Amino acid sequence: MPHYHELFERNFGIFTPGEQERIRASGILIVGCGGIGGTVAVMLARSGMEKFILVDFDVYGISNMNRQIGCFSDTLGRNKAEVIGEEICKINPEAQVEVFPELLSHEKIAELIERVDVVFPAADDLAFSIVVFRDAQRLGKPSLMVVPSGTWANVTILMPDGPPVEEIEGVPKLGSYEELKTMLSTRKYRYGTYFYVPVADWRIDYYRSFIEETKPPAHIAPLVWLCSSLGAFEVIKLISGKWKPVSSPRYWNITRNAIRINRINGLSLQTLLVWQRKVMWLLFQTPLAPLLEQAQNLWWKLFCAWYSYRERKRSGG
Amino acid sequence: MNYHDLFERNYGVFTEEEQDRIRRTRILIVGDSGTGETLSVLLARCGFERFTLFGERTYTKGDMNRQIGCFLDTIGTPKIVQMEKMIRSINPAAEVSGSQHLPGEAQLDALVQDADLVIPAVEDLSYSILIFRCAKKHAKPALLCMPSGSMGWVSVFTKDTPTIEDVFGIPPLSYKGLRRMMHTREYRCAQYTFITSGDWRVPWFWDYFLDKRPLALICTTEWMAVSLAALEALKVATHTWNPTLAPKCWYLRRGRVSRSHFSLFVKYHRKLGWLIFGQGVGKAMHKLTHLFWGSFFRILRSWQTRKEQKSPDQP
Repeated sequence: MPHYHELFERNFGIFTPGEQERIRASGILIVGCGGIGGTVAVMLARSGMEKFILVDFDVYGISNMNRQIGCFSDTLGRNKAEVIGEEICKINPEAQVEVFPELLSHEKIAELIERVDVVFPAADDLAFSIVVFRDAQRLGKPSLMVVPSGTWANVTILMPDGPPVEEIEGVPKLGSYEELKTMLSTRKYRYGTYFYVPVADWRIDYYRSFIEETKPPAHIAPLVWLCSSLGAFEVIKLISGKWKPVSSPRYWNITRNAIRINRINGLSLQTLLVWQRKVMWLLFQTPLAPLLEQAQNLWWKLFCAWYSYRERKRSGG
Repeated sequence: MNYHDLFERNYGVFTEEEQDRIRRTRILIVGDSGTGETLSVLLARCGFERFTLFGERTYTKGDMNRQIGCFLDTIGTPKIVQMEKMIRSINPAAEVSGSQHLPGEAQLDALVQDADLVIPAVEDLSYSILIFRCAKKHAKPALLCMPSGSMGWVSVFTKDTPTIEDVFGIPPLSYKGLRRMMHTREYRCAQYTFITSGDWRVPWFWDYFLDKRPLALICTTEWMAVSLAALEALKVATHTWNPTLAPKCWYLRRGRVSRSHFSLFVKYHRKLGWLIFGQGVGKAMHKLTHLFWGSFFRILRSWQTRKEQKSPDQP
């Protein structure tokens, strides 16, 4: 059986034995082993990390093939956490991998958080992930945030004493998972993701189907892997102590032509979007709500018409 | 499994026509370094379907820290065989050809002519330059994806952009001349940016300098560079967005990444160094330059040791 030093020999060109030992001894909990969760897990295993707790109830489907690291013809239908766990053990036979191929409660996840050094909530269900982020902060553990969509993504480390994920993404601070889940699935909240078209390069027809809940989010492999590698790098920075991680209130903002570090409430398009979501949410709680909904529906029609026209122009039609 | 089902989510970003262009693009990857093999798998996940792959190595234990096809049960397997297996397992209709031997100059000419995007992925920079020259000759876009330690560059070279020699300040020598030059200690000294920007540890660099160690590479930087390269490949194939053309590049440095330009300082000091020390009388002065480099690396080593001593004991 190959020795740890042989497997990760080239890392010692960059990391001191002490730094590599810190990477080796650290543990991560990954909730959701799909596009970003699976890729970050494999990258950390190849970086020399040895302790993994993987949680995912989902199985590989054919539409995962365009970006998910463990999805192949022979893994279709298999549980994602189990496949990623097996892959990690084939990289480093000394790795300690605990796999939970089922849907866990937040109480059980909170117990698992206490056993690791870093938490990575990467579930498709954003409301579920937000509660895991909150639990990680409450229990004093840093967590990794990676949010990709089309050709856009956000990446940061949320420190226990730093601003929460809601501040970066402009999600209203609702108490329970059920409230968050209900709010995130309302059409008026989904309209708040309209920047997916101009910034994340979503096609308008696809975005319209996404709003109508007939299509899943649009993802392409290079962006999913880019934000995953940046996320894995932030974890390595954090646990090795070699570099200073980018942590909240700072965060990486990725588009196809630029990768920048933004700051919450700093001068950026995202600040505008976040405040727009916050203000709109407050206004929707007032008696003005029916009027606002009518205005929003009108805006939606104009938005779709404008971007359909632009897309036709782009394709020369 | 039909193509549309496999790449359904891509259609949220690309039109049918753009995705069809991706599908029809012929990718030529020469070399089986970590970037080449990871990039081939990532491009297969983007929907590229026509691959010509060349590489001559088998997986070793030292590849485990970053190479996508390297597992305990594939050590000793030719990389090309594993890449082909992975690509076909992603898309059974993919057309994969190539060989376990690197092509010679004449064969390279024909291969480049037949390709739509050329990706040199060999660790031997002189051979990479040969491929870039060939791509320029045939007006084919070529993709640079070059990580080292925590630094890296990604850029697209076309017939209208500066050449790779221009942006890195490499002298205009023949392949044999370049190969000779790149094995000299003087050339390796000029790679000191591996330490200052790529965070190589000085003892490792010293062994690399003496040909006792390979390049220091880590997974996160390499895969970040590969992801950016795949994004550029999509830009080239779809014609929808403007690629990052040289002298612009994606520049990775110490865990940071930005869209920037190749360093003019590095370019000109290498050019000047070659002008003064590269030929004729200059060669006689090499012993003097060794004194300079000796002191330079001693300073770097003491700076790095101080920094390492300051680093925290606990994460």
